[in-house]
Amino acid sequence: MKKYVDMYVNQTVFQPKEQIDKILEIISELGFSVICVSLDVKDRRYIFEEIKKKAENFNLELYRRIDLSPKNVEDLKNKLRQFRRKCEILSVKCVEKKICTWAARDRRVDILNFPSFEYLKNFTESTANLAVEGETAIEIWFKQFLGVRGIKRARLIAETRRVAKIALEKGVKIVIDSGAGNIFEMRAPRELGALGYLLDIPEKHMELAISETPLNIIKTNLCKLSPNFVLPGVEIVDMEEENWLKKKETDT
Amino acid sequence: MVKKERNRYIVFKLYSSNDISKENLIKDMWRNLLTIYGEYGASKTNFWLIEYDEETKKGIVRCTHTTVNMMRTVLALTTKIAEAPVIVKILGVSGTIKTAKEKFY
Repeated sequence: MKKYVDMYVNQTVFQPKEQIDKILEIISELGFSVICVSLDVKDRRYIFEEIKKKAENFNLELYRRIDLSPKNVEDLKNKLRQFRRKCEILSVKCVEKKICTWAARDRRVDILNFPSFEYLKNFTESTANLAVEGETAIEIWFKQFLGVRGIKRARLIAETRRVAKIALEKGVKIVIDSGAGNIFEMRAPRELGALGYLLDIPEKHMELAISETPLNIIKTNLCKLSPNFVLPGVEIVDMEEENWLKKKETDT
Repeated sequence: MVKKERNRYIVFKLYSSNDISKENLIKDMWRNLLTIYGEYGASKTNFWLIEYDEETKKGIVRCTHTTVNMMRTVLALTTKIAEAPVIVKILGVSGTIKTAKEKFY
């Protein structure tokens, strides 16, 4: 059975605390198997462990996600150093062209996020080329399309369509997720994919955007976070320390 | 001879903390359809709310086979019905009302 992923569910979705079970039940009914909870940088552990424990009852896998909002490139580098090994998914809010360019080519960044319509212009063909090199994906938030009407929505659709077109041409990975700040902003996986019809994304890519692409990102990062990871493609398979100690004893 | 326009029946479920009446549902679905695709687009869909159970919050809408994807988008972009926040989940799409009811309703 196919696993569907919502790469962005804000921790505020699980408030108030008494509703956690009910909310997890709805998420599970919607058809998700994996969700990434966006955590506040300051209190990362506080709510996550509690939700994760309860999510096991609903066969939901939960992963930590941190969204960085750097002020400039230096700030971005510092924050990447600080948070990369503390969560499974790391995204950068591309509020400036320079930040977007740096984030795109940095392999530590998983996702380029454009928090509102105005920032989509930061994604150009050159950024796309860097994103391919850096293996970063771009994220489309379903929530953005829910909150606007009329001309604003038309312009948002047009601009996102432009971004999606560049991404598809250059081979940049696309992730479509809810971007939900409350449970009513969440949608079932196929409904998230339905956004692709508005953005002229082929059906094949829509399926990838809600399932395989996010799963691959999580899988790669879990490997990187494991203590046996050395470099991409190189990991410690077995420790020979015991054998080495025995050999030393027999030699003496 | 194959009919040019075939109907499809979309079974959906609403998640909402409020009670939602059939009248409000029809009104807001039409409004969303017209907002997103306009009068011309809406005219092509042959859209109609066939059935809606206020207790289970499940319903069936009709559209043409060429506009199923349009309807998916419209249902997905529905945020509020009679000012109550909702999530619309599509349970399945079928070619006849009978199968739609048997399989998904």
